[in-house]
Amino acid sequence: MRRPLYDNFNPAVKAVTIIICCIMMAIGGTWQINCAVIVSCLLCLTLLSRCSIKVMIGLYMPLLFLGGLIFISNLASADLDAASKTAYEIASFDTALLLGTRILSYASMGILFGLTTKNKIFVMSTMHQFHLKPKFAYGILAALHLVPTLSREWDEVNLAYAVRGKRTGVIPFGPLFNTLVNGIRWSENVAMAMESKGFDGDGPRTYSIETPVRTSDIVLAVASLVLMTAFIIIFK
Amino acid sequence: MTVPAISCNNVTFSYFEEGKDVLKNTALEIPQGRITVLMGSSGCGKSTLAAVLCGLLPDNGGILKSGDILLYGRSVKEIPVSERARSISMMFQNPDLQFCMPTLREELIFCAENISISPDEMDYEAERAASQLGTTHLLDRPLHTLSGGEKQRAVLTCIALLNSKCIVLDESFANLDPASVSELLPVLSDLCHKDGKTILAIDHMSDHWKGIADRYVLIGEGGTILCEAETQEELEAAKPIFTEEGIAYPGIWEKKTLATESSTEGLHFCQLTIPQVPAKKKLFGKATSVKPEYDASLYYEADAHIPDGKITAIMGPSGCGKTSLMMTLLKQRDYFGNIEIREDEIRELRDIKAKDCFKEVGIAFQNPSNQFVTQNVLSEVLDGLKRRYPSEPEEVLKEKGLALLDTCGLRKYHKYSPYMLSQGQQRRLAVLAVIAAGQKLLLLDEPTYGQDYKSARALMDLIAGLVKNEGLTVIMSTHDAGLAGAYADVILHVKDKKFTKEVR
Repeated sequence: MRRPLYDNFNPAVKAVTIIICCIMMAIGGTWQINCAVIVSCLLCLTLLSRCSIKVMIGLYMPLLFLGGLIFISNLASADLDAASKTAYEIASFDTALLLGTRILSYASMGILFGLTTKNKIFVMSTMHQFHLKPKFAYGILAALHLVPTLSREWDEVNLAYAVRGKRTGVIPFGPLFNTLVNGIRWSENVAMAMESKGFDGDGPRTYSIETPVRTSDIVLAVASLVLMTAFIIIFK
Repeated sequence: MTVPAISCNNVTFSYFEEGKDVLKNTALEIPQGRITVLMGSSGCGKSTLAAVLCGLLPDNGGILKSGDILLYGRSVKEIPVSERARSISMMFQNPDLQFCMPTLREELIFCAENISISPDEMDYEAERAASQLGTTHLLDRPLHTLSGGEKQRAVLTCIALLNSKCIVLDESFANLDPASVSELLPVLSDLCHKDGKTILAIDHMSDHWKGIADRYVLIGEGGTILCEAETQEELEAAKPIFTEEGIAYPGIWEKKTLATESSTEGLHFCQLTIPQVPAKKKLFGKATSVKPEYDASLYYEADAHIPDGKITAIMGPSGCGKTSLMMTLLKQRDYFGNIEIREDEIRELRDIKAKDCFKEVGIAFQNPSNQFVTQNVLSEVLDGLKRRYPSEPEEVLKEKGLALLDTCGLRKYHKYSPYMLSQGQQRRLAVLAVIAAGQKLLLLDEPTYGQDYKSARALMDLIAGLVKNEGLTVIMSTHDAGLAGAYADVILHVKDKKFTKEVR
């Protein structure tokens, strides 16, 4: 039975907890700690959240490939033949493992946050807990919801280049410029439309969603930090 | 005596300190509880005036050099934004750029939060507004999946929740099909004549408002009031001023004789079926799909003939697949059946490579700023000319480019960035850039969208001249029956996923 403990975790407290864990992991820095973090994140995702397992696998596949590549490329410099093994070569194997698992462990924390947090709730939480001004918070939400329009326009700009026989190159500066100009114009339009609907970036407003910090959030944050400390003590 | 909903006096507004005044000593009164239609040519400052009246400008840019705007007797500057929304709210031209939430329900909650409605009442208020505007079925659908008409209705629902006493419509029907406009007009009429709301509509066509508008105001350069009309007779009497300002009025477009079949040359759609959802592109290899059923198609086993050297207009409601047909002709979508190009020989579009197709087919999109590939007006046409005449020296090409720009009054802007031109000028430049490359088939997606009569006429006269003199073939999609009737040789209506040729 999956319990949505992490889905209900206050997003602002969750973000702070994960950032602290990342800093601790950077200081700790061994492959054993990285592996413990990866396993913990996977357990949290599968047992303490209701995130889609399919999406989770989809996110982990390219990361596993990337982690594997980093591991193999670093391992290539290490000679594991016992007769010629030197301290430097042993270190190379450890380094390969450390670098390969590091990317996975940091990404796991990001995935844990991303898959258990809703955009809107996170933005609301930044307003309530970090006192981010509504002007910025709703600006982020508006920008997120412009993505489908942007994507449609991007395809159109690229088609226009193709029709006119223009190559866009590896970094498509031309289409990027067009999209940037359109983006500025759109953001002005959306800002005016929001103001026309009574949105005042700094004025008083009510909130349909409140994101209070509950005791359970504090308990979950402390438990996560204690676990991270335990990993560092055990595996350092 | 009741105070006017909006009154402004001696309003002078400019976007830049040293720039030209967009509004100069403008004075206007909008009475309560009536529908006032404000008309004027492109670039005369209609939209700027609307934004200034709503208090959105100079809050979001520009300088109000003189004058004040009174909303129901109170200075707009003194009313806080959230309180102002209860007095006045605006519906913009582009339905895609009016929402900051993913669904209508969330957008309504956002509006309720803005005007500090208690959280317990928000859901009730959202349902009430949706039921008033008949949009309950749209509440939980993603906004980006709604049609243009549905989006504009969603904006009206937000305005109903805000309970704004005055509604300003800034060319809100510009990219809606006639059916969507016909659906919205009774809603607006009821809001005004039954609920007592004040409506100020900015439009460059008076056709829509015939029968429901109480007053027409025509403004000229700098927001100067040129004439006002309250009755049909007064409107008739003002026709010479409309013509002088380049504004359309009912019956301004004269009808052209439609072409009769004389040649079989051109494009032939044979049993053409285009799926609603294009096949997904594969990383490796070609995308494959199976022929869709009737319900999953935009066109189903449709036949049509697009003659060479003529203008063909494709008309139909929003979402019927006009743009998709153009994308298909550019090989951007899969299709079933045949698209044959019959000239000296018969070629099938499927057998032509996309790169070769682009040498013969050009497109001008609805949003012209999407297709500029250089940073200079002259370079836009030079780019096409260089491909068309690769061996000609640069100086000769420059002369040709300037002459081409001259055909539609863009020569004086040849050193400007294309993004600095007005939308009408951008559209003309986009068409010139395509023509410069010498493509044989020109696809025009809503060529006169958001343009006044004068600009639309200038663009279409240019195209008609090229069709006549250079044998260009044009396919244009449009909602404007007047424009299609005046310029198209063949009019195809999309109905029940098939083409029906208009016969007069």
